[in-house]
Amino acid sequence: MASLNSLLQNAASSLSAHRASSATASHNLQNANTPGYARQRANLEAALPSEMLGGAYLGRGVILGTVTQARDRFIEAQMPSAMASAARSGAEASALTSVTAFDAMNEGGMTAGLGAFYSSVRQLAQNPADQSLRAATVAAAQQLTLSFNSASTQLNSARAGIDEKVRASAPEINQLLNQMASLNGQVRTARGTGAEPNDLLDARQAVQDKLTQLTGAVPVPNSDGDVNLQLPGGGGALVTGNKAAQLATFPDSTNSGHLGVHLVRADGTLSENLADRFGGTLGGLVSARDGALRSAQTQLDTLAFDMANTMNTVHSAGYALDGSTGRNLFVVGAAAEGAAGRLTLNADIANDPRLLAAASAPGDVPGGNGNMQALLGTETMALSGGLDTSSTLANITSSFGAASQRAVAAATADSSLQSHLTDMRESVSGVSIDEELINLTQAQRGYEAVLKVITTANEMLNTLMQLR
Amino acid sequence: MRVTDKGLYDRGYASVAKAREGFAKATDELSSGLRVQHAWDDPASSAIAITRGLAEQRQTAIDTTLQRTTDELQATDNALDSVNLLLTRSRELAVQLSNDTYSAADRLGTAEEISALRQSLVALSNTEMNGRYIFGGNRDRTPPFSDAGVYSGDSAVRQVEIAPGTWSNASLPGDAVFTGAGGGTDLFATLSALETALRTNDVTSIRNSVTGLDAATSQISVSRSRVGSAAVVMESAAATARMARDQATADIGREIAADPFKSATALAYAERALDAALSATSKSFGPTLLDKL
Repeated sequence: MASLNSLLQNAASSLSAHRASSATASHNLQNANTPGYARQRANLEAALPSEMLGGAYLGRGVILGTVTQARDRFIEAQMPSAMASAARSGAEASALTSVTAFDAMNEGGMTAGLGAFYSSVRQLAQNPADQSLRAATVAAAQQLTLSFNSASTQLNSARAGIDEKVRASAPEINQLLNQMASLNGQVRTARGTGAEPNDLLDARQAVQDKLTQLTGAVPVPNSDGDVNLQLPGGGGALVTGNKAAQLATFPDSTNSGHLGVHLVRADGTLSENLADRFGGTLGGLVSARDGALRSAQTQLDTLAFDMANTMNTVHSAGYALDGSTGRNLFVVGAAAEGAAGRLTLNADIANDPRLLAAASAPGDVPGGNGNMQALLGTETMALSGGLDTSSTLANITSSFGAASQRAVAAATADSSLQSHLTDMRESVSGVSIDEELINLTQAQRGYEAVLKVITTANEMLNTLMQLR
Repeated sequence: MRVTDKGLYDRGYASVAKAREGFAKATDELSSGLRVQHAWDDPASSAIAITRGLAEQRQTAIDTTLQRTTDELQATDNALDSVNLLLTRSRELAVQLSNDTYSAADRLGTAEEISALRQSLVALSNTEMNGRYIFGGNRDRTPPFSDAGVYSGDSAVRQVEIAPGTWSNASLPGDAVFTGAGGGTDLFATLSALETALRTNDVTSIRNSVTGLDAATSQISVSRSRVGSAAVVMESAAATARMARDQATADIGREIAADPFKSATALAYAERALDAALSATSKSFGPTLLDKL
């Protein structure tokens, strides 16, 4: 009777094991499309120790041993770097390719503006006293300034847009950092029961992946089972155990007011500006803002400044139709920084085309074109960089284009690697509906078989009880 | 490799997205006719397109100004041709009326014609084109000659650009053409003298005026040959500018234009690739155990 009772008890335990097995398969099926979910496996084990009967050991059925996650540590170790690189290069490429100011065939662009200006000066040189040609030259000069203003605005807007993205991402990153720290604590607590908290581990992995993509954070597991997060290159700790740093943005006066990023440590102290230490999306955005975009803006400002000052030197030496002299053609300010955005036509000339100084001597007014000849000479004059205006513009275009092209190529390559690793991860950790249906059916059949054991043991008990 | 359902969906999504991106790019290239639309498509070609684009605009402007200059030179030559006819007529009259068979009354009547010819000369010396008095030098906004033939222009010769940075003379100063500045003949004075001689019935002076008229005719002839030479230079320069412009246009096309045949072929391939991606994706979502249980 004791054996029959233990048979029933063993069967009950086996039912639980099979129920857990079907529950695990069910959990996998329900999470088949959950991003970051790693399939779980209920590992059944024969119950120990065995019961001794006569000279033999009798088994005690099946118990649920462990429920484990399917993850490949090798792939998981490669994923953070691949995700961070793909996010970084993707963000940088996206930021750079949003700027079309240097497209050669842009209508209303700088190439068109420069060409139209010098063309109008050429035509004015043929008949300097013609009012319609003067008006056309004034219009072309205004168009030239607008083309530079527009290019500068586009670059400024791109950089300001990045600042907004950086500012907007800080709260999201901070929330994720707090989640990561909290999950470290929860995992440690859950592990205290001796079992692996697989769903918590998945949740923590998902947060870690997100932070890696956003910041390039490098995961550093420790012996306590926590996953700490560091900035790439050892720039600082983002998460240590159940404590998280926070990001704080601030306008950086050494970078024209563009946003820098402090780490607010757990003890409340502020780090130095770490904006250039980040990887991931944040790192890519900052790299675009402070790299190719800043370089292009600086070069454009220098070009505008040099071009305007060169033309002003020539124009102010000439004589207008009213005999006046000493008037600049353009207004550009005293420094190169911001020159492209500030460049405008002298308001006096804009309002009165007769003030264009075409003659090179007072006695040559109105038909003399000596100063227009000199103004045309600025077309091939070397600027501060050693090249003339058109070559300088071409140089800026090719530099910016090359930087953007490199970013696009890197984004393509990094995305390809990330896709490959993601496929491999999915292959190991993903849920196959076919497999889980088989597992479910298997668990169901096992459950049914154990029910049969219970039924049989019950009948045997009844038979025993009916013995007189 | 183990294939999961999510993996299939992700792969399908990626392959369709990639095929659509390729299709969109091919469509864009064919419809725009440009292989290089942005600086990052081909940085080197973009840079070349900028410098050649500016060169193209430069040569176009040079051609335009040369056309206008050629028109002015034509107007100059037309005016000088009329002056030549006027001088020829004056000479005819001078020779004719220096004959003793003509009376003082005849000569007086001819003086009126010479006076009219002189006024025509004033009008021709003040020829205007596009608001410019072509014989005024740099003072070209007001008539350079008074009714008395006094010159108020200057001696400047206008210059026009015949090639980037190269300038050539494109006008004749009125004082040299009409008043003999620099050792020539004053046409107005010559006609005035003839008119006076006719009015005063001074046959000797009438006869002597022929020498002045011959010198004036020669002076106009020299002026016309200068105009002709300048016009030849302008025409040749304009042809060179057009060739340079066309070369620049060709250079730009070579750098950034799309080959329409290649673009059309690429579009056909991209369309086929998209179709294949869509078909393969739909098939990969095919039968699972769910359909069989």
